[in-house]
Amino acid sequence: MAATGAKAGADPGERIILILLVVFTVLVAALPVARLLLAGLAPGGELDLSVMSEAWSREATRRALWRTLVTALGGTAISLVLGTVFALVVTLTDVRAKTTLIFGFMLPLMIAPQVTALAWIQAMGPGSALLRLIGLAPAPGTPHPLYGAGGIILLLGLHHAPLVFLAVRAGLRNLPRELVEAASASGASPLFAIRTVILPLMGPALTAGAGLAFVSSIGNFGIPAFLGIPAGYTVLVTLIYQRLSGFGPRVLPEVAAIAIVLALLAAIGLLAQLRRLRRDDARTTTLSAAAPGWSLGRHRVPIEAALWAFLGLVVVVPLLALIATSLVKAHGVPLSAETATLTHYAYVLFEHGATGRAFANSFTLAGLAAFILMAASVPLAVLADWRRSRVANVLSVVAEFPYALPGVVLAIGVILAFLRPLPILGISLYNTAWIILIAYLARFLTLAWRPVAAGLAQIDRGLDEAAQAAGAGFAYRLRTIAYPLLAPAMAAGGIIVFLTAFNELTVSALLWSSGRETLGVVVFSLEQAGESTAAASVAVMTVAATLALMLIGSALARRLPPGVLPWRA
Amino acid sequence: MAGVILDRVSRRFDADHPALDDVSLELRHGELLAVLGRSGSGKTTLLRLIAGFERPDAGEIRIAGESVAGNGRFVPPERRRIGMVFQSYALWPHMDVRRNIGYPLEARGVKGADYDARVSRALEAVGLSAFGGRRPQALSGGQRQRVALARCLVMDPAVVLLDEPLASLDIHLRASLSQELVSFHASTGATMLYVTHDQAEALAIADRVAVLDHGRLLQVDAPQALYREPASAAVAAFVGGGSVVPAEVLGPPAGGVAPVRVLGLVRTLRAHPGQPTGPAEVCLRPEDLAIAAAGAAGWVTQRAYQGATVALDLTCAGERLRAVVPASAATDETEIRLDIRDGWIIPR
Repeated sequence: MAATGAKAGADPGERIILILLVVFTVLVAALPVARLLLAGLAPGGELDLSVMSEAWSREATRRALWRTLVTALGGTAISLVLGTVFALVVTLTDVRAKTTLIFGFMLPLMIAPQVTALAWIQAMGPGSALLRLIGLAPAPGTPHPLYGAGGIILLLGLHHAPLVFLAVRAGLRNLPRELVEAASASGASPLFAIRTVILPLMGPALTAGAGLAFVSSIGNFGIPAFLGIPAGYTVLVTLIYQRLSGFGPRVLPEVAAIAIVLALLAAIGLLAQLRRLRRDDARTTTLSAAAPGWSLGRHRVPIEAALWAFLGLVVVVPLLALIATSLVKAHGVPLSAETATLTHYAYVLFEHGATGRAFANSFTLAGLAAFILMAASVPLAVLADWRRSRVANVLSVVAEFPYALPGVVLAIGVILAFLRPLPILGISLYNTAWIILIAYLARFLTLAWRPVAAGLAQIDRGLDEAAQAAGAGFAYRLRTIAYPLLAPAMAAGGIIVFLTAFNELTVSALLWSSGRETLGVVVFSLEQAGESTAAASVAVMTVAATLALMLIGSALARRLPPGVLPWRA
Repeated sequence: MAGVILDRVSRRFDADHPALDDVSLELRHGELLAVLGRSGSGKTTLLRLIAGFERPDAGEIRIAGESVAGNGRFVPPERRRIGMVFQSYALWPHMDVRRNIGYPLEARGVKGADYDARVSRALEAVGLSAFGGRRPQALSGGQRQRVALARCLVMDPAVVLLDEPLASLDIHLRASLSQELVSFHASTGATMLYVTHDQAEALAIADRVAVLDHGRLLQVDAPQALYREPASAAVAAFVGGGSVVPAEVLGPPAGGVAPVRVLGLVRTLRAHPGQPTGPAEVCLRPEDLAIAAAGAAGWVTQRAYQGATVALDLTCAGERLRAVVPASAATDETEIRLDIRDGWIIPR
């Protein structure tokens, strides 16, 4: 047994896998972020703020920063109100059909922002097939009511309200039941108890939810691209996009300087979240038992009606408008039995080459990213948790950065890191699909890792040690113990990664090249080219694919740690 | 041949409080050694060091004659030929009983007829031949323990390490499973190290008991010796509920006994051959004390009826004592006379 006489005795397989994970994380996550900082702050190798000051001396940049703050803060305020009210009602009272309500409320977050924006444009605009059906469409020729700051704020608020909902709901579930019961025993009505006890105690959760909504809002591309660009209302993210797509790689230092400020803004929002992360270890979270379960009595039916009406208005109506647009013969024609047609679907699927390619590209890229990240997250989690590897623990923190940063920031970092030809191979990844894959791997590693880590925390570490005592090496234990036991959590992570990558536009808007379009890019280009009906058809198909994947995830939910699937919160 | 040898092993997680401090221990081939200690005594660290889940900061560990840790060497658990029974049993829920038991063979590349025969033999040895196709979740607590034991047995380990396997069970199951462990040990002759905080369990099943406290090894002895001849006041107080009282040895020991003055009485009590005269401590077990017509004056502070016996808490000559006397000899009086029938002079 001691025949090898290894001096340190570590399993060589374990070391090799750890080294592979380090190389992987450094290449896809740390390198792009480092390159971005270098390009913006020290383009010549030494600290040099001339690029920075030049970029920020422009009036356009400063105006975009101001607009970013206005729309993000406005959106966050709406998210905060909607998410908190919904979380309070669904968690603390006896409204019925909670699972369905939550699914409906989470849906805007799971649907791509560019699809949401497109749906609202169709629902509210002068050309709205749906409004024409009931005769309420704005007069033709008037500007679209959602174009500009108001529309961006509204949609950012709706899109990110689920993030606040998740944070507040988690906080409510950890709230000790006795604190609320003591208030009731002291004579506090439910509303009074919410105002005086529950909301004050939800401080950290509200801060965290608001921080997350803010960071997501400043990094959002789809909504300001669809609602801002046509009105000339530019925020930082769309400014970066316009500069880079207009002038190409030579403006990289300038956009890097803008991106660094965007990253700083995100850091402020992230600090708010940290307060909660420190308190919230999955292992100490107790579930459900804490909620008081107030009976609404005769108010139940009106409150339920209000909730369903809200979901109908913000989720169902825009989607119906989208479907209606995808079905009418020509944009602007009212939808009726005579004008309904499937020709746009046939067009995008069989005639418009880019869409077919985009379906293949998005499926392949999202599938590859999901598969690779699923495979990588298990050894990472096992090393960090069961094997107490400090290196792996650092890696799991580093993996958070690319996801926490706004997508455009990461995309610029990836371009900077992989624009030049690779050493040894001598080929550049720029203008290939691989650069998109690298960005996906960096950005979504943490999405795959979190469910696996949560699943691992529920498994007795003795199961691994027993296998080790039985003579199994690290790689063999991974294959026979960790992977089979973690398969459901891995699948959940894979579904979340696939969904997010499949619907993604922010990163690929900067990284795509001809022939390497993603679905998000195609919807965006079609709408920009005025082909609204075709854009709507593609969008409807992506929504259908998203819904199908969410339902597959729900079917798995029984075998998953609680809270892993956001739409099953 | 020695099963396991620990030679001056230390393990410290922080500078001030060593989890294990300079421990030397020999586990003989084929014996069942219990390591007894309170929680935090270092007993689990000791077990995990032998298994290879921890590395010693000093000292050497040898298993079946080969050095596995110390002097710059470290053999990881998977190459130590150990069997381990976890408190949770750690049976893999995604494998059936046969595959759970066969896993150590599988990990070593044993296949085909050899694999089948050895797994079947192990199943038979623990009387679970009919349960090979079941999942561990479908077994009772006792059956799970047997699967865990069979998983150790299948690869003929140099030593089987058991980490409080009975601690989480209810009292009835504990009794029957500890009997199963003893008969498993008797029938297989496996070398076993058993970690527990329960002294009754340790005394009942072990060939020898090692008492561990604050990371130090206090005594290693057969259960009878541990009870009758504790090596220190700490062991006397921890094992068997003895009272330790000051005394004066009046003469040199002869024939295993020595004259001693204790509680104001002069008696001849058992002593270590090298026991010097002068001040000493005496361990008095509850059954060593008796109510007599003449003797030291004592006061009963508490009386607990136990059926055939009565337990008395007493003070006598300023010492607190505990006595267990036959119910027929007990009186209701508070003031009694106390005699010493037996006792052990704790060696210095």
